[in-house]
Amino acid sequence: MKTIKIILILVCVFCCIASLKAQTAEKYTLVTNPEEAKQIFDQIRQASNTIDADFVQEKKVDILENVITSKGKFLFKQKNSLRLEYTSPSYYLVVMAAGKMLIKDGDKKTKIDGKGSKMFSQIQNVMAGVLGGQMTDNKDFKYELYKGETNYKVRLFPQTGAIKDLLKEVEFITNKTTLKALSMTMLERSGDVTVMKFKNVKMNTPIDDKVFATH
Amino acid sequence: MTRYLLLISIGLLAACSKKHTLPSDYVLQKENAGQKLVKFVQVEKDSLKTYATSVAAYGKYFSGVTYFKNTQDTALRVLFTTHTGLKLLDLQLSEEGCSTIYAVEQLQNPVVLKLLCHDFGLISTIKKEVQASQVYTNSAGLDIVVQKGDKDLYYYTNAKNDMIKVIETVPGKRKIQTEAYRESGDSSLVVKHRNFNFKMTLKKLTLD
Repeated sequence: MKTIKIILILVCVFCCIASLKAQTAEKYTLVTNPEEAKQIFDQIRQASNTIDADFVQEKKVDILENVITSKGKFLFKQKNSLRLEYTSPSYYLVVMAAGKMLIKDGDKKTKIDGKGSKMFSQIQNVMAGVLGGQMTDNKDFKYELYKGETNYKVRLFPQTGAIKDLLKEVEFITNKTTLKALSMTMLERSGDVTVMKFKNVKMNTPIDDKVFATH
Repeated sequence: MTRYLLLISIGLLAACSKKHTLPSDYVLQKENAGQKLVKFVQVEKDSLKTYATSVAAYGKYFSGVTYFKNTQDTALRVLFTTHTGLKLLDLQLSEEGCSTIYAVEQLQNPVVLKLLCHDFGLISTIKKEVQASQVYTNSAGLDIVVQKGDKDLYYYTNAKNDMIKVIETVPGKRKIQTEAYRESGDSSLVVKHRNFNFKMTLKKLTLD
């Protein structure tokens, strides 16, 4: 009886490990052909005129031991309108559209005109590049596109400005078949890792421009 | 020109600083004694406290999240991140003082780091007992714990030794330089400088 129990536990442990491996150990190969990369980005662009998703953000800091979790809503509309709304553990809203930015933190609203802001244009470049399928190497970012059995992976390496000081790499994962955004991982220079996982992703559903209002 | 205007402004602010006077109903109870003191942010060993944090200084405003973690019962780690999770600052507060573990390039300024060390140290601690120069008590059993040194500190506490307010003044003089207090029905903590325009507000968060 005891032996059967041990075997059952071992089988369960093995299944869990196998399942985890399947989720995390997707093998990717670098797409070296620029034509193929262009085709993939074109596919992504056509599938993501709009993205409407919930997100769970997990930050891992060695010293804290705990994984810090935040939740919220992510909205994107071509060409580069973005709304990132944190609802937990505290409310925080960032809207970027038409070269302007709105930050709402509790009752406090901050409006930023993106003209002349290096960081703003860098973030817009990333949005347009990865989500909008307009990725090309430029002086702000180098990119690498990978394909796996089920997903595409885009690795971005900041080259200039404040983003380079903060981030070593940003990684986006997209499902190859549905072209749905799955996750975004930020690897910081400090060694910390923040992963934003997208849930309930709806692609190409109408999103009212009003949600991207920056006033 | 801007530099002179700034100096004049700081000078004017310093000259206009409010004076701190001890409330008349408090009576001196003891001098040079150990005193239990529970600061605003008291973190038990291996536990974590989280605060939504905003900073307003000279018309500029930014916000993020501060994490206080008691790592070894001898040191407190203070992490400040953006809402999107990017770490901007990592400090260690201990009996030996404050050290910077990590700061983004924009914060790598000795004056800024000294200010942040000072402000986080004013409201958080791992120690529950301090060496008080004087302790005043009123008829309701509330205390004012005074620590004299490079700056004079006046800790106002309730009957449970929980901190209600801290006032920091220039030694020997009573001009208030910094004060920390609870606001909005105790849900927020405020650290405010009187000799220059700087206010930090921390609001406690509950993590999932």
